[in-house]
Amino acid sequence: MKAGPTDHPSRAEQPDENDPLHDPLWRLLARAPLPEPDAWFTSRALARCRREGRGMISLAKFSRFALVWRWALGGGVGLALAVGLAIAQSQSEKADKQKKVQEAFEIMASIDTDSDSSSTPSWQDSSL
Amino acid sequence: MVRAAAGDSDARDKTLMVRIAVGDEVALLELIEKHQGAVYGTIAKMLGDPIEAQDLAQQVFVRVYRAAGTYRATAQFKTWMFTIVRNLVFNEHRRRSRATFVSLHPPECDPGHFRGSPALDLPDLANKTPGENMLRQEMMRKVDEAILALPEQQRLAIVLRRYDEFSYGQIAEILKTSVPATKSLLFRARETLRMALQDYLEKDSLPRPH
Repeated sequence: MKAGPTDHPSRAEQPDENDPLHDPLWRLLARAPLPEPDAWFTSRALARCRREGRGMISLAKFSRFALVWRWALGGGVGLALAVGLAIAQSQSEKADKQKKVQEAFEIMASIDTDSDSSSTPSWQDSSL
Repeated sequence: MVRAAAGDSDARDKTLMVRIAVGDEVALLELIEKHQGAVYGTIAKMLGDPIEAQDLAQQVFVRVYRAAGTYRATAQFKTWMFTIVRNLVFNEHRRRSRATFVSLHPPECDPGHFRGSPALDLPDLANKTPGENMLRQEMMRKVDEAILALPEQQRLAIVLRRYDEFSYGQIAEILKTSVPATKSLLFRARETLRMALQDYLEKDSLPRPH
């Protein structure tokens, strides 16, 4: 049987209104000590921890890893965003340049067409 | 000296938690063996039901195991663990207050008020006469009944103070209250117990523990 708390705990050497030295009530409570678990408690508790706690331990390991490497993860995400933005910007600049060149060609083509059509007006055509 | 030993014990607990966090089952076993008596005993004293106490005490260690990965040693390990004990015990009280229990046996057939605790039911035949054993068991039953009749906060405060030998500060932390409020809880609990156990306090003929 568990001995339970002592009648004179070392802490009670200091005066205290809640558990004074030589208090009969405190002594009486000590005679009804805390019950002890049975002999199989340890193995049952361990088995239950294995059964119910395994997934949580893996999650905890991941969260601890994430906690340690959170700055690196944040930096990685930031770098990826920056690279993505730079690529997108260069793509749009390239597209703009191509568009401008295409417009320039179209203007030149239209000028050529105008000059061709105005060179021989119908009223000057001798074949008519 | 006592404080230094407590500090060593706490440092050991924290080391064990670090090892448990990386999956060390030997550390878990050591932690369970070290604290099972206090955890189970406190819960059994609070509930008066050894079967339920076994289940809740196991749940405490499952929660400790699950929390090992995220555990931060900001407070004493034992205080932190008893916060889990408090939550589970108070939840159980709330569950019981919602449920209605009907006993299959009449009260006189109940084998001891503190049902089924082998540690309490075994008589100490080596040193006591049968009469002394009966008186002692009767006295223990009355003490347990008086403790069980206390409101839950007072009950936990008195068990933590008297049996687990926590300081006022630690009890306040576990109960999520202040130190003066803890002292007040303990004072009221003591007064109630003194009234309930008046007969045993007056007659000083009880056998002393060895």
